[in-house]
Amino acid sequence: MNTTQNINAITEFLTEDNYRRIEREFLKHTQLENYQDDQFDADKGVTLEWGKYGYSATEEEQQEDIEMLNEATVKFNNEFIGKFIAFAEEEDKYNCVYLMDMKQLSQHYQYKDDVEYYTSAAHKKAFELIQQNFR
Amino acid sequence: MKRFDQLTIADKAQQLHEWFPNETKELIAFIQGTAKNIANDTGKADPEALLHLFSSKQLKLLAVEAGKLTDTFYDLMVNNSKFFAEQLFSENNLANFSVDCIKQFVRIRPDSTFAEAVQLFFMTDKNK
Repeated sequence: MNTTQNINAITEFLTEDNYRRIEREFLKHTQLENYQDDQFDADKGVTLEWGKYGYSATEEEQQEDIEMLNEATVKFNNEFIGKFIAFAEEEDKYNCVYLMDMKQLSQHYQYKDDVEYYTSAAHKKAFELIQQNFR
Repeated sequence: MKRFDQLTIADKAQQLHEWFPNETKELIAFIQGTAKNIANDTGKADPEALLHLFSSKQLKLLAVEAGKLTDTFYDLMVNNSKFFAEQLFSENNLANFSVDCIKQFVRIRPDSTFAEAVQLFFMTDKNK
């Protein structure tokens, strides 16, 4: 087996063709009242936005969603160990969730620390393996 | 803005949702019902039209998928035209399933403005 076959055997990639299915797998763990939009980028993965808070939103309003999204990322990450990963971030106007495959993750080093903090040992191991192969 | 001949099936579905939110709400329920009837073999759905596109096994799998999708995300589909269009009308087989449901839906209400829009968007030679 060559390197590409090895990688394909252990992981899956987030593409234009499958991202909606993977996005649904994440969304089923969430509350959707404030869900706004999604964007797909082949290099960066999927960005999902929760909003409607407006500029006058209180921290509590936004906080409720970010807690829900953090819980959803834990469930999603446990389901897709070695394949896909989700991170939630609180931003100025929106709460964002980033869904990535391991290759996309390996190209975004700002999330490397998040892998250490938020994911399981198996996820870390899969990430390291993919990272070595795409270096 | 895209020219008409550059619109994808999902673009057309999103536009239809924005023009006719009430009818689209009924349409989503119709897709949900059709999917469940096919998935559960109730005999209430007439899958004849769909069987020219799919084998009966494929059709059942698609119906299960469309049923799950509309069950889980019904409210979001009603309120978010982009989500409705991208989830039901972007993936090839599921898009064909959904378009066929639209065609069946307007047969029930052929004299509406909604039916005219469907005729324009989905029943031209290219989309038949």
